[in-house]
Amino acid sequence: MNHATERQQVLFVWTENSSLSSRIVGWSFHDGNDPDADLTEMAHVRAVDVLADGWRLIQSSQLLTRPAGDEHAAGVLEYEWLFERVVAAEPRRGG
Amino acid sequence: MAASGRRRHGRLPTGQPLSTVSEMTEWTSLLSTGDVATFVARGFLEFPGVIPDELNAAAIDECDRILATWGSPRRPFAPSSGDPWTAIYPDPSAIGSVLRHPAVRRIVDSLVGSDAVFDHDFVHLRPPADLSYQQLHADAVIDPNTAFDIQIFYFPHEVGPDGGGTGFVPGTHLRRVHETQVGRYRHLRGERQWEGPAGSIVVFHHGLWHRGMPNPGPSRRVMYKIRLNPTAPQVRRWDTSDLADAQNPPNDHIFATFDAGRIGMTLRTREPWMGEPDHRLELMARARLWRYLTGDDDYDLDWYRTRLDARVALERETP
Repeated sequence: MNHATERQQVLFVWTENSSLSSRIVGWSFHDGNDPDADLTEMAHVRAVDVLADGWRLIQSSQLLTRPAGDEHAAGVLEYEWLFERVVAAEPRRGG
Repeated sequence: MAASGRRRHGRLPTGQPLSTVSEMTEWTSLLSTGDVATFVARGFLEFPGVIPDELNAAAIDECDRILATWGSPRRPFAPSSGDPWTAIYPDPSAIGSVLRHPAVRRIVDSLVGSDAVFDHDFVHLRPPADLSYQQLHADAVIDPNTAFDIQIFYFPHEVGPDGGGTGFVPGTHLRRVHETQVGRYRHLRGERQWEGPAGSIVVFHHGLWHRGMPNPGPSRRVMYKIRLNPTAPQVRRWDTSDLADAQNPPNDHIFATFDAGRIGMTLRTREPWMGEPDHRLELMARARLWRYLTGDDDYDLDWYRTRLDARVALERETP
């Protein structure tokens, strides 16, 4: 990535199960052009739809067996996908 | 991603209906079994506009005095952790009058009991055009207990959609997380942002994920929050006159036979952020909490606990 001309956008997505084709239940968007950016509406239904929109999948959560004695505890969301895309740098707006 | 979907500091979707709260004309009655089941399932109850306007005005003034003197000996009526909740903010405190209002007292009596004690409180101020916000969090620390505290949020003036009302995620209260460990989540389907008339009360289970939200609007937003701890088991503290009829038997099983008129249907409420694996674990957690609240050690939803408990017993009997 050319830091003089390009910026990274990242999109965290959480789905309802471990399949990339499952429904999106949560998301967080971050934009290297704008540290205050937010994405209040999610246009995609499934995580795989994000791929079809041109994003690159760079990480997914591991599938972990729950430890004995703690099988039924729920905590953070388990099925996390991290996408990125590189866009043209815009004039600095701060941050 | 479509550029049109990107807005900065936009409002959260608020499409969820109000929680099912019994129609109350007499604030002297306790919460109903349906109210408490909704609280167990969703982690909150909301009571819009229950505190009268004259008391709201006095409470705003007192909140301002608390803010101006916070941490100093001049703070009016400063309570200490562990104080009986009935003794804090004595007359002529306006905050005390709000806390002792029948619409609030019935919530406290039903969920943590009249012998609850003060944990802490705070006045949360969001100036107009304040675009800062908190990360999503659960208060205090990881809490593995079934017994629970309540947090009462009091909004003394009207809060509009752009008024910086508290954000929260229904149904997250029974998950074992640590404070801002969940701060990575910016949007979860079904998330809410409080908006409503002056004098509204919202009560949270202590574990509910929430956050202070931006206040892009023109009005100053004041909110008073107080946390209360129970000191005795929270068993059947509400109006349980309908409990025997409402309680479902342990074999009320959505994949076998079930009675849609029993309390299990309320306790099965599924939030939009929940997948099937999440929902099933939530049902087990809710059944455990409902056992504690009702004193019914055999209570179950969809046979999950009964099935496992029976098999553990078999293993104990193995020679």
